[in-house]
Amino acid sequence: MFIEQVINGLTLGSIYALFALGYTMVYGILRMINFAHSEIFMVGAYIGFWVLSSLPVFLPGFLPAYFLAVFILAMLGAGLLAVVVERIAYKPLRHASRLAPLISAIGVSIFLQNLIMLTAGASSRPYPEKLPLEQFNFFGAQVSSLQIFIFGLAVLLMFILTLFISRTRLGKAMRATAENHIVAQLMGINVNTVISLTFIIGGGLGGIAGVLNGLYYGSVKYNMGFLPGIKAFTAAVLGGIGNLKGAMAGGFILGIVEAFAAGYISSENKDIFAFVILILVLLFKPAGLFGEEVPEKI
Amino acid sequence: MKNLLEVEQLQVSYGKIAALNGISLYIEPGEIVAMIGANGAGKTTLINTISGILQPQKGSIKFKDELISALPAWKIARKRVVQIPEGRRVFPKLTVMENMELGAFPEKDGKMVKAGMEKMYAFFPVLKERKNQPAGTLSGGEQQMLAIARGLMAKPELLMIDEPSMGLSPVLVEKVFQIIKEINKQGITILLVEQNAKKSLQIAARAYVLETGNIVLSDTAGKLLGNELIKKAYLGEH
Repeated sequence: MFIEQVINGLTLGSIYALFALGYTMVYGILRMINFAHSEIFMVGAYIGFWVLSSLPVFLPGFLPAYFLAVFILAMLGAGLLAVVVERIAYKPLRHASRLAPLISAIGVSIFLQNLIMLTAGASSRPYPEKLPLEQFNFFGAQVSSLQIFIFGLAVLLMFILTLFISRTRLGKAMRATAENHIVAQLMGINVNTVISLTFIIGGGLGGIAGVLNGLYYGSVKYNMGFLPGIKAFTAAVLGGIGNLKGAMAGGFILGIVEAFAAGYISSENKDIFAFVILILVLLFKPAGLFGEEVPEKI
Repeated sequence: MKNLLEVEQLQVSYGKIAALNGISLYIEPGEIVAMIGANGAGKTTLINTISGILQPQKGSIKFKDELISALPAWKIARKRVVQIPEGRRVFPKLTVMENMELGAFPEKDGKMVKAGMEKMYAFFPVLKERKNQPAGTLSGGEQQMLAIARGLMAKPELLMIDEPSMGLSPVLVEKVFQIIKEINKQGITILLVEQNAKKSLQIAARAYVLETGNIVLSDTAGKLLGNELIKKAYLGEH
């Protein structure tokens, strides 16, 4: 039971962590909470759903390449959507009061939910099962190939992101922009490009998290982003919003807490714990576990 | 091209409050030009407008005969019009090395960046000792060195330095002005914005005196040092 819940928690945490990175990256650069990010996640899940249900696997041996294509398409689609949202709904408000883009983000979120509801239907759709499912025994606990896949992909993506941010020229430009937009411009950095890049990466990771969520729970629905969105946001706040490692750690902590709550307390009320954590963090450690800055209350 | 920089009838305001009332100035290649004036005279506004951070309401800024006043700040920086901002403003969470690398951001050739960095380390050995430290942990003087090094990493043609002596001890002020002279000897044109009028006039070729958004005097630095009004108002001599 214990090991099983750890495995469940790490799987859930992988999804939350990838999802949370989008919130935290955008906050780091723009000091804004992108409430439309939960819909980027949902659209990513739908892109995966559409590709999986319309594109056949040509040969069994092509399966890895097939899934690579699914993830790349979901990542690109979600990333581009995130950039378009930024250009249309946030950029014109960059010098407005901080509440304005927040409200705009909520508007985008409602719009995207309704758009998908009207075009793809209001009911939940089953996610195509094209990954061969196998169960393994791990110290007496059951672990599925899908769980290993989700965890492995999430860790790989986080590793690549960390390298990108810490080592590359553009990664450094992103960190510089997060610290000071004006001084970054004095270095010859085009801040608008950096902001777009942030939305592409954050949105892309959110889109992949959406596909993983679809594969794990086996369904998609137009409002599927809402609850995981709040949990991923909680993970970002728990780690210290604006801090990438914080979002990763926060995601895994939240996943494990939720898995244990579902396993030992009540699986019906498992969603409460994310909210309890959010409230406790905001009350007692608003800067989060790894954060230095205290985010403004919104 | 006679002048490297030509500013004409520049007018800048913050909302309804005018900060610069149509000022004109020029800088010839290879000069050190000082801009002196009290706090709030508009000195920082001027270089922020040249850098493209502020947009002028009227007037023009030409760099090497090319109009740059409508360009965004990052494009102006890439024309090698480089600003070392007031109060140092290094990136505190980034390391000393990363700050310097960002100074050379437009340069994509890593070898060129490395070579530039080695040159700066030779110039400022203390930065080499601290290269892996977050810039925010450096002392004020070290941060000023880093800001200068970061500015030089961009290989500027025009270097605008805003209040380099601010918050530094007299010994360090002396050192910073020595460095500025040294930089200029290597062929970099400098616009020096300073409250410390005496020090800047000692190293500048020419100077402008800015008072509440207007240029009230301009002359060679030597003549301004001997000017009675300047002595009274800016040099603290009676």
